[in-house]
Amino acid sequence: MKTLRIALCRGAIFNETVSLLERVGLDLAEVRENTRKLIFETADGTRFITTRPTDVPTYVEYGAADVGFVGKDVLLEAGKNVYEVLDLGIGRCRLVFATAEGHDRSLDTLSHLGTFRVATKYPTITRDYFQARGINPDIITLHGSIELAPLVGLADGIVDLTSTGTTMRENRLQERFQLYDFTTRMIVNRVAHKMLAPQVGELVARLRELVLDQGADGRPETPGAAR
Amino acid sequence: MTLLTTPPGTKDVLPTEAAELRLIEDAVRTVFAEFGYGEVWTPTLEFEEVLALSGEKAFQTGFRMLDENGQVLILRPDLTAPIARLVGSRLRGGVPPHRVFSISTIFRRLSSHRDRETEYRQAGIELLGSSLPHADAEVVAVACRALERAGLRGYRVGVGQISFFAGLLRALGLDLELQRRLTQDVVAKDLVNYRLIVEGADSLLAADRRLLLEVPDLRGGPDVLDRAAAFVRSADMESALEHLRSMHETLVAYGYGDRLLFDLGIFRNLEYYTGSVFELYAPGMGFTLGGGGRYDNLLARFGAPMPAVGLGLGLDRLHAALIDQAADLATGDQTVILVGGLDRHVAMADRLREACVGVFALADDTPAPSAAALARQKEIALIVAPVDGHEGLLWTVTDLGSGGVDLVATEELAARLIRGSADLEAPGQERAAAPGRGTSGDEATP
Repeated sequence: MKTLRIALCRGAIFNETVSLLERVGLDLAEVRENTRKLIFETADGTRFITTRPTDVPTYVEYGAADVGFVGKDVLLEAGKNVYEVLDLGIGRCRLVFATAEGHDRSLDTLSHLGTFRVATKYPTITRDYFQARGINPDIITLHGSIELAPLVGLADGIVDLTSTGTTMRENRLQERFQLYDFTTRMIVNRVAHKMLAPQVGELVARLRELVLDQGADGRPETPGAAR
Repeated sequence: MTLLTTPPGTKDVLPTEAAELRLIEDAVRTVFAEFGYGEVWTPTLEFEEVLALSGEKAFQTGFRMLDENGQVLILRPDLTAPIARLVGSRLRGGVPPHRVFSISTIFRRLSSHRDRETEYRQAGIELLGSSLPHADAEVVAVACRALERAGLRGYRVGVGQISFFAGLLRALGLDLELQRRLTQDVVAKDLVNYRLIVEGADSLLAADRRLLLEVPDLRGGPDVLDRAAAFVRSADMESALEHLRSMHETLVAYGYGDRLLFDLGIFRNLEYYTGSVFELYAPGMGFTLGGGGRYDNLLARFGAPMPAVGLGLGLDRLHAALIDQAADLATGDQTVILVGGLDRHVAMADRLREACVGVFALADDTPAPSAAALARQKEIALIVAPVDGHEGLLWTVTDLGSGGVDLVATEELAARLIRGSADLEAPGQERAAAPGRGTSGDEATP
């Protein structure tokens, strides 16, 4: 039987994802140890590809990988045509709107201006979120240190991921509201979902059992649930 | 302008690729004709408000322009809606069923996220005026045969049934808003959110919730149809399932039973589909080669109410899949360079053309190195030149592949050229064996 090609991302969710996959019986010892290699093949022929988080949906959409594990933030931003089959309930982080501490320049205050400037790494999610609420912010796409933007007057506020809030506090930013709560998802190429249905189905079933045991499924909030 | 580029998602096709695409297109066209489908051509430009009758949201991303009266025109965004319009207008008085096909370029602006093709060639068949499951089976069989005739191996056809899922939502008495949200998620392939909504719907009984959670995962061989029987909650659902059973039986008779992957989780992104839906897969390709389904309500919107089923095949995608399988796409046509074919030996050039050898004619005074350089650039393997002192009687045939030079008499020249290069494997022979016939034996079922 043909084995799966699985795309993983080196990054924040890497260790948690690898642990989950090991617990359903996949051999990722080498993937863990060798951080420079990009392609790994286990004894049973399962192939792992490691890449940047933002590239995982692309590999899966084009069928260079059958299955991928990636954060919902990346998935929502990329808008790819792939099956999203399972919420792993790990890698939780929140996408929030934040502005400089103190005087509350929250959404209500800002929206009377008609427009305001938001700096973010997630231009698509940010635009869609605000547009659905009748606001057209001026979106400034940055690739790192988003916190800097409001401090130097580049933007009125930021939309960024936070887990503990430490970075924001250190930069004297205050969270004003949460846009989304993200977790890691398993995605499947649309043809692999059909042509390799038994293999994909088995992996999903095993992972789902594990996730349900941990009680991580069935969270109250998810992007899109309010559509 | 310094960069002579074409817009993103478009491409130029050069002779080699064009010949391969033409070969595929001819194979597909022949199969369509064998099943009695008649070719129609519809205009590249349509009135937007006419195609808007289809109610298809996917056309909103089409390319538009204004004509001199301020009417909005749209570049043909798919093959089905124009045919529905055609049936509602020029074929209105005709007696159904209608079997029509069309091979045309369609234009669609895909999402802003990617530079996928915006202009691509599609081959589509439509069988209009029959609601029988055997009509669906025929359309799938035509697609299977077309793929095989083009030389594709290992392909599969996913067969779904939208009305089974829709019937379940209705039978469980879900409110319309919930039905809409669940449908939206399965179409978007967001099974995580789908599950979340189902689990969060307090009004549902536990048993019903389980049905909803399992339905999109019903996929596999014909056993799926047996398993699905346990989900039936209404006469609608039973007839939706029965439709698939009949389709399956008929497709077994065509010899395509083991090509089918039944999958009640297939939902196409076009809204006009009402019943069975199909997707075509090739092994190792991450995208579908095409798809289609039943659209029983679309024709009524164009004033000619009748059931219909159709399928579209992406020819560029089929081409990519064939290349991936290293399928033989050689046309078997031979083209040669004939030195002097442009002026002194026009008669000889014509004689070769009549014998079905393509002639790229050069002037008699073309130096040999120039002819060779041209041949390499045009990917032509053979150069024919008259022999000094024996003009009209003897010719040299230079094979750039092997480097060999033959001396050939006029009478034997055409035969020698059609045979091509003896050193290279004769492409004509391979081609006769390769495409498609009797490929089912070489594959294991998944």
